[in-house]
Amino acid sequence: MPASLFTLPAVVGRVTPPNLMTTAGLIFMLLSVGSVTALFIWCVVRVLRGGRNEAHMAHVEPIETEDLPRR
Amino acid sequence: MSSPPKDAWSSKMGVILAVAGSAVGLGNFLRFPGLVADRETGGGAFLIAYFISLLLVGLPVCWVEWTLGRFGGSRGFNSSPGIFHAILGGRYGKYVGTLGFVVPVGVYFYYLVIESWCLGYAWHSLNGNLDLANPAAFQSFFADFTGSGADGHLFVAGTALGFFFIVFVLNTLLIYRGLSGGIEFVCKWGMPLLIAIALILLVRVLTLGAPDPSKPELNVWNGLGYMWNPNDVVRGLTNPAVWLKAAAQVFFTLSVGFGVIITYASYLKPKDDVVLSGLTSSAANEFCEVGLGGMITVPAAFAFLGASAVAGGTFALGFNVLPQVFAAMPMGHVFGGLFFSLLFIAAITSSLSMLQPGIAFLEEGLGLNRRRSVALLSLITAFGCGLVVWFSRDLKALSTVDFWIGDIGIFLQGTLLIYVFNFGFGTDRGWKEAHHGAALRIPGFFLPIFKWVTPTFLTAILVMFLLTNLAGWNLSFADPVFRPTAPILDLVGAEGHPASPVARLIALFLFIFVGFACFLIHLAGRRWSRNPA
Repeated sequence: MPASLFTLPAVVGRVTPPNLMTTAGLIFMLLSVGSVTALFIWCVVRVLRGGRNEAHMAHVEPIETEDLPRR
Repeated sequence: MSSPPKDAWSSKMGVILAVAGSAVGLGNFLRFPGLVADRETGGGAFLIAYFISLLLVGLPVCWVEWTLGRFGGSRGFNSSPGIFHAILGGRYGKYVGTLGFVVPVGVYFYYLVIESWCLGYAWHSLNGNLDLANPAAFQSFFADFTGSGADGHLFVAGTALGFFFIVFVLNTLLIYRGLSGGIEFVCKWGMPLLIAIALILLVRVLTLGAPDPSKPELNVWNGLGYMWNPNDVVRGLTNPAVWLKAAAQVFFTLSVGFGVIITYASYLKPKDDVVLSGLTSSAANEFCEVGLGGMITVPAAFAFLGASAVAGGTFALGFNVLPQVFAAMPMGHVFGGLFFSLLFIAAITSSLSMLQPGIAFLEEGLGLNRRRSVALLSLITAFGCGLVVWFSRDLKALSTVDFWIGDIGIFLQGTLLIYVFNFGFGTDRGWKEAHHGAALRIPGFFLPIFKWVTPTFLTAILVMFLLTNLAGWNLSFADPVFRPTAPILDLVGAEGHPASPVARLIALFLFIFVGFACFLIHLAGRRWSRNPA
């Protein structure tokens, strides 16, 4: 493990060059945080609702109304 | 195959939380923010490379692990050697899964030690023992607590050994309680608690303002700017180091290639969903990493201590810089205690997951019951952890195991997984297998990604990773320079960098451990041949 990993920077507390939040920074933050949060919430809702078995939906036989008496 | 009765998950949400708990660890709250905030390889370029890597490597390998795991479980196997034996067959198929046993157990050797630091720091923070005077005092506390000053230090001084015993016993007891009663129980309570604590800390950090009125530029808003401002995106995206760091972070954070997801998924029923479950566990991890981790640690450190404090690395940020931040904050001992409790919860849900692949293998490979398999694995891990705890000087033993098992081993295993899926199992067959019982369809464009893009991307990253970390490549195509890295020099020695006896001893131990694992897999293979599934 490199020693630098455990060495506190000697300049802690020094005033550093400005790191003002830019519009691009705000967009990157909102997009990144927003997208993962939205995906997480969407997934949890799908799981809690019990999620339809979509992979098998295509194999469900269509119901023909004229077949109903025979069925 | 005559195996002991199979464990099982009690609910779908339980397995999702268990996988998410395995993935969410210290890296989410300490490593990721540091990578994004890095002046050279962070910023917008890193985030773009990170999300592309997530799409091309993280999610596909995650779905592959879930799919192969559930398939192996349906054939009666729960461990990587058993699952690869079921998929590949032949005399040597089971050995492809060796790393699926070695990696989680090997990582456990040192991860448990770090977990005990988190518990210890939470305790000391809540008790006000971290209200120290100056940066040097925090550094000294860390060195004393972890024993990084001298080998064997923890056995003669301090409280760290006590915390280590507590977490070792706790993990052993919980894993003994089984899948549902131990791992699922902890993750069902632990993960919501972890998110709740993180949200409390997030609110605290976002309302910090400018803690020092004489330095108004040091405020949390600029801290967020320091973290998220994109810098030079085009230049960053042409830098191989950015891609390497982003792909590696995705790989490590999702716990893919670790041998854990494949084992967890093997306890599912054959028609249980794996697509939505895999996506949900990954999304939970990303939420904790980007949505919570990315908003808490670096902005707080910036607001109190300035940009220079952020650039120290994972352990320095977590155990040196942040305690200073909490010490300077009103009610800091409470928030510090909460933060280290959060790290401890993240760590224990991960460490438990590292034991299950080993337990599963010992049960099905050697026919041991739960009690005996837990006893044998505890013996092995006690020895491995003991070496890491004893050889604490400069954390040499910890970093050596981390490098050879936690870095190289995980990358190799992950790459093997995607090749086994494509060439051993068959991509089209795997695609169909993934969709058995699926609550969600994987978008069709992922099929060529599974087949071509992920293996190519992963192989390129693996080669770069090995060239950089073993041969010391400077990541320059125009003017390549190769200088052996510290882990290599620790073993072979060179002028100005003598070989480290501890690193050599640990490497020898790991070599013997891998050999022992192969021997156990050989015994398991004989058992499986006698009693086919």
